[in-house]
Amino acid sequence: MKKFVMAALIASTSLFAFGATEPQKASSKSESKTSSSATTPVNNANLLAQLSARSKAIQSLQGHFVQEKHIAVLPVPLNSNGKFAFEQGKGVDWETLTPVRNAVHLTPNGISFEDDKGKTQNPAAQQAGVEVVAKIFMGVITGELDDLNNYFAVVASGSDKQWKLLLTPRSANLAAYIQTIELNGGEFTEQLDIAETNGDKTHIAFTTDKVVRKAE
Amino acid sequence: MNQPESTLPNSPLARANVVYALAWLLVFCVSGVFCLWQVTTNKPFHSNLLELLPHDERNPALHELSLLMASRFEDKLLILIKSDNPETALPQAKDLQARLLASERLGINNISQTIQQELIKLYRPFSQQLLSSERREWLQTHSAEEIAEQSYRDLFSPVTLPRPYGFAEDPFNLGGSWLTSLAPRLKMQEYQGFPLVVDERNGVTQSWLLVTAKLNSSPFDVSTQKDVTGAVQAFRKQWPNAEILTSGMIFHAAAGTQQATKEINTVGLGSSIAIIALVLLVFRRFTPLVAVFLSMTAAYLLALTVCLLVFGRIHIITLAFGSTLLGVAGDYAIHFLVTSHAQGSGLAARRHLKHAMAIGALTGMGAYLLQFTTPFPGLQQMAIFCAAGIFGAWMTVLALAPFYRVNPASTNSPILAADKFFRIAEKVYPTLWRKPRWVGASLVVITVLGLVVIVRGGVNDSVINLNTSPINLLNSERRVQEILQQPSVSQFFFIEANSPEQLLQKTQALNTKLAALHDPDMRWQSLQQYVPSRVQQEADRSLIAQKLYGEPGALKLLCQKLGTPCAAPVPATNWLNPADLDASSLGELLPPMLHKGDDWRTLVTLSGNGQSRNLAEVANGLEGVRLVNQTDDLSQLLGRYRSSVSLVLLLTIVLLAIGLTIRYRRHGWRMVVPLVVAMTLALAIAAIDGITLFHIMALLLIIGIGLDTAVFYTEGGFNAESWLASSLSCGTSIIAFGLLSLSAVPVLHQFGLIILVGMLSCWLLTPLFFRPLPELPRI
Repeated sequence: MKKFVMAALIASTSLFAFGATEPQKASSKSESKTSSSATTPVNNANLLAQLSARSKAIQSLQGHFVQEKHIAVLPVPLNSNGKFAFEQGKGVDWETLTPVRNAVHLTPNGISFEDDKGKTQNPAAQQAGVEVVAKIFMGVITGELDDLNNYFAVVASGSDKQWKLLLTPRSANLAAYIQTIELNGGEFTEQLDIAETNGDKTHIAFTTDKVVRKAE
Repeated sequence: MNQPESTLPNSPLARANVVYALAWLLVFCVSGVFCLWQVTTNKPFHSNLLELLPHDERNPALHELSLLMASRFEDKLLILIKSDNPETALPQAKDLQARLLASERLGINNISQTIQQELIKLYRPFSQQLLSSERREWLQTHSAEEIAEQSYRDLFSPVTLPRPYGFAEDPFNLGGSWLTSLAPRLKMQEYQGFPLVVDERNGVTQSWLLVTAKLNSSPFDVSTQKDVTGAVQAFRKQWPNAEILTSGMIFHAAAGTQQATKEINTVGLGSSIAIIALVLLVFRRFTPLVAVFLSMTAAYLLALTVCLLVFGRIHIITLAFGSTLLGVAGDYAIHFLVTSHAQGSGLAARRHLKHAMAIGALTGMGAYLLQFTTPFPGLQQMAIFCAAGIFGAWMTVLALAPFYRVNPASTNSPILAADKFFRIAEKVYPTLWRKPRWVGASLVVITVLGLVVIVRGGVNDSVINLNTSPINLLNSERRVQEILQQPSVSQFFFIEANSPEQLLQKTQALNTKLAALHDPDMRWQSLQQYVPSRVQQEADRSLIAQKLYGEPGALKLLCQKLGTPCAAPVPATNWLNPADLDASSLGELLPPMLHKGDDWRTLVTLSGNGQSRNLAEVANGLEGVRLVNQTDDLSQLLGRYRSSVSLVLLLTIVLLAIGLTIRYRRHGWRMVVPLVVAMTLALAIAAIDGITLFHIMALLLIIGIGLDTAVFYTEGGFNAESWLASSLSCGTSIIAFGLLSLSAVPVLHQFGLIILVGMLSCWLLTPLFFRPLPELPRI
């Protein structure tokens, strides 16, 4: 299996396929600095800058998620849930608990997987490819807009109290796999919707349990 | 030169002379207008060196395929921008791309941007019969339960293979693993629409942003070259700290054009200055200068016109070589002018030189036209160019001679100059004439020494001789090729078969042998990586049918887990075959393939550092598979043509010797021997780095110019006028083409060196053989 997932990652290293995975990811927004902008709508660039600053102010964050995956031909959605954790500078842990146990650990240095049978580390040769996957995945989870901006055109709407981000792939090669990614949130990310080009749709709802902010 | 009111003791112009002059004027004007029209509308000058080479006599399919490979290098350009920090490199990449795309001659290189969709579309009908080797092994070594379990888990995992096709079409995402296996092992990511290449070499990691563009016209189109070099120059000015690497034929072609233009200017300027200075020094008047330039212009225009009529396009190197023609064309005018002043009128001079000019011109033209018999397009162009030019110069002198009148007041000045100058020769040559044995022995010794050097120097057929690119451009090219792992244009495997299936099986066999080398530096691209053979597809289809969709297959187990009924995808009824690739627009990214009737051909291209090993062995034992090394082939080709031009050269000398013996009887050898000695000396100097094709070609020009000198001595004897004329014409050529030997372009350097040494020797050696017999005791 490991080999298989590995292959998935190599795919994105390819000359052409910048498309990453079917990300079922959470994105946690950080707290607002409340005082300034209140509920008044702000323009796109300002809002993006605000959201970006918020996520950078977070030291660590934990929560749990509920995922609903609609596969085009299947009559019922595939439901799963689990927990996630993010720590600034260290990476993201994403763990599906039911109906199967799967864990993915993303760090700036690479990616590793864990299931019932144990751990796998990526061979060094594939690191560069893993980085691409990790960047998109982590970007969505952590709200690192700078990284996401490399792959997607980001349009923000709403206010910093109730915002929406719409991500559309910048390259045709990525668009061959991902149609759009939509993030909704208030103080933190609350909803993630991924529409794949093949017709599959993933909806993830997040609950943030614990936040540690950077000391200023 | 046209001085109708001058009062000279000449008979009124004969009617024939006027008609003749008018006819010449008509041809001159028509040629001029024609050249001007061609140059402005058709842009007939180009700098593609490959077009100067003979049409390949090897396998036409191989030739076509290698042209196809080359065209991929020709029709686009790649520029890497060093990106220590993508944020600073991004505005540079955007700026450079905008500057390039501002030209209407450049377009977006969009194939790589839609390749993923193209691939998805191409493989869609065949997704249930194509397996990457890893996936095949996984299916073979795992039970249906294990496969179902893993696939079930993947459906929930955040990090899995991209799914190009939906669950209904491809429940196990075989398509995703197939497409992944096609991806080259290049570490390329994307940064805001620009590919970001990560290059790891010797422990150093360096990132580059890639900017590409597609050429809408030939890289040899001078306007396109200007657009590209202009864009890059403006970019460098805007971002003086940006470090960029360039790749693509356009950059080499532009450098070639620039270099050739510079060389032509150098030669043209040197030639002009030398001729103006010498003519003014000797004649102290402007009319002779006009005469010299008029004959040169007429020669050049006629040469250009005939060449354009015959070939349609002219290579810049032909023009550069052709500029040596200016020297030959000047010859006739100079000999004529000197004689005119000695004889008192142009008409008299024409009568006097009639034979010498005819013999000189006809033999010269004959020598050049012999080059036309070689199968070398470049040589053929030069042959026509030079022969037409000589004819033009000859006719100009004949037509305009009657109009050249010598003012009695100035008659003496050139003669005085000639006398003064002749005194030097008078001191040297008679001394040598008196010791014929000593001189003969010295010449024999020098010639033998020369021959020894030539034999020891050997030959040099290296392709480097054809290079016109500066070293930094070549280095940049090499680095881009390495970083992007571009397939090598110079070395690849050629595969021939009688059916598409056979072609794929042969390619598969080669693939297996290459994989068995276990060389991590060895990378190759072959057709069968994109289209497995039918045998393979059949095997994979039945493996899939049995393991995944059979009873009890993995799909059934997976759907039990999912709690939903599901049906196996409908298998394709046909097979993916190479012809399907033709129909897609992916062709350009895949190894080239060619099929005509039952003949199927393809190349397996190589990239990476593994090319240095002995790959010929890999093809051993594989029928219809062989390694092609284009560099070696081209080198051998140069060698073959060096031999054939050498033969033409020998033939020319033999024919000349026979012809001159018939015309001059016992004196014929006096003309041939100095020529042969001069050629030997020139070749000996050149042989230090090995003799190349271009040295031999230059010798043909030595024959032309050297022979004129000998003919004028033979017809007029060795005297003040012929010595002055010969010195003037050789001197101008030596000064002008000596400059070519300083050229950085190997071809031009080799050419210039031969002309320099050959002309110098001809000029100084020929008088040794023309001892004025009747008035010997003149001292």
